[in-house]
Amino acid sequence: MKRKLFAALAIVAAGVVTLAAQNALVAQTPTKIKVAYTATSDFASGFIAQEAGYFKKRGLDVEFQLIPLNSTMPAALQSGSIDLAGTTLPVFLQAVDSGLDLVAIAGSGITLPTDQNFGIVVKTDVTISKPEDYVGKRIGVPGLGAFLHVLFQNWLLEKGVDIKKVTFVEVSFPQMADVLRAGNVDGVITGEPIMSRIVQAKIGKVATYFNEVLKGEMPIIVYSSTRKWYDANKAAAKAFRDAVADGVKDVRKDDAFLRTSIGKYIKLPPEVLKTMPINGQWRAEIPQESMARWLEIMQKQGMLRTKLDLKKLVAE
Amino acid sequence: MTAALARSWRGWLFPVAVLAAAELWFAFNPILSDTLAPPSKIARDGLAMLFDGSLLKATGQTLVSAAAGLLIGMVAGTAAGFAIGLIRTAERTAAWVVELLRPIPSVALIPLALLTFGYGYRMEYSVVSWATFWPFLILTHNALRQIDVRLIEVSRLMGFGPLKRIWKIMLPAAAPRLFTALRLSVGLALVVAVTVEIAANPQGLGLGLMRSQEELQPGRMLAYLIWLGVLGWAINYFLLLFEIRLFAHRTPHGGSTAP
Repeated sequence: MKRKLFAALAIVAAGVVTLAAQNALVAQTPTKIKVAYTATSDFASGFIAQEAGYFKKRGLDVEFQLIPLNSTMPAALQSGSIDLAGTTLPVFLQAVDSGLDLVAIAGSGITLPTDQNFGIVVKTDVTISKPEDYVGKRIGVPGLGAFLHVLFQNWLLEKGVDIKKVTFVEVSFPQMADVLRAGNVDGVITGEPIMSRIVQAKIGKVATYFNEVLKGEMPIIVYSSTRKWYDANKAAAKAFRDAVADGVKDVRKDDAFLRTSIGKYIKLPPEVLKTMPINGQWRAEIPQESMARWLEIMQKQGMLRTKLDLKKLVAE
Repeated sequence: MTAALARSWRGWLFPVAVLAAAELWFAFNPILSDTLAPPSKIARDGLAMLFDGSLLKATGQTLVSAAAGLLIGMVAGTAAGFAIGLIRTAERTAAWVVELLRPIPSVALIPLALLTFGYGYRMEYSVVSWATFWPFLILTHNALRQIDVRLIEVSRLMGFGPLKRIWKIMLPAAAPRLFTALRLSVGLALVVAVTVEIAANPQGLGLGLMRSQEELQPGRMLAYLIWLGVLGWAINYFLLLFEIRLFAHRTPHGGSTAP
């Protein structure tokens, strides 16, 4: 009888030990998150969070994957080949507008009305003295419907210029200097470090900083996931956002670390990496009012077909 | 031999002169460009990529995708070609489907492939196999249509079953056209694989090209471009060599022509 009791107790004890060990293992196994990003310093807070070990500290095993075109990311999210997509707001909102159930879980680069990181650079011999001077001009944009194109059109509309009277053509960032020099366009909508390089080479001059008409802070990039992934990984999503927030705090602490971190994910030539202006700002949280500004701007330009529910767009 | 060498020297003269002129032009006109680079910079960047392994890794990814997609397209296209070439009902039924689907450009399927498979090899295989499926189907079908009827009759008289007839008569008769389909499709597979990588799939030589451009490294970008040209030329050269060896007995002079 005693022997049977001991055996039963031993089995129960073994079971408890195994269960505890399993739980400990689960707690220690980091949650893998595959994040798609594009080659822009707007992701600097995420790069720093990775390099400083803030994701690891929160039990996340984050892998950054460079994707040349951010417009392909929503489809990849849907297929499950990535967990988080770092896209610009127009791409995110248009994907949701098209029926994909995505949710923004963390912010990255932001832009402010005072921001001079983006602007329209016109050829040195082109004169722009008032907004109406853009009528009839041919302007290169990094992508039709892309973030910079939308913001410039917003500036034109705010200044009472008919956007249909301006011709927009797609010119990728690296080609902007050559295309402007050749006179194929009158101006290009661009950002740093391309903007400074064009101005320094005396190919063009900054004509307008179009952010001046913005009504407040706007996110440039958000990390989004499918709602299915978010519902199954709420704790991991929060941990991701917290780690990015730690990265935001560190961005301005050490310029050398910032540039090394960016250089690890974007293989810029050393001389460009060393000298390029990094004036961006970052925020891990996504205030609803900043998302609302994007909705208003995009609706005004007829870029959204449906009325999107602001509350469902951003994770709690 | 000496004449061949002289001919080869003359062939090299023009590209070497162009490279020298480009180098001199860049030396005397130092311009800021994120899309152009002097030949010496392209060579330095190309060698750096070769030694750090990134060029070979990207080449491997593109070649694996192109080869696997080609293999799938070849097997499926040849099988479908045999099916519609041998079975009249299948030929009649498939005719309009083939005419409807064949004009769809393979790159138009990239968004669908991305949504279905996500980033990675499977997406690239699917698009490449779609592109290469059609040359095999069409050329196999045509090859079977042109087999001498007497050969089929002889095989029947000899009591060959359908499988033996395919193996002994039809496949050897269709082989040269299948090889032509292969040569056409190899180039196509490489082009489509790189296009898929440029447009959507973050791997291989296409990603290398795009990434170099975005990272303001025109030397690396142009090195990738030149490497792609060399790769395409080399694959075609060896295929041509292989074709001559394989079908030498069918050429009037025993296939002594150099590729």
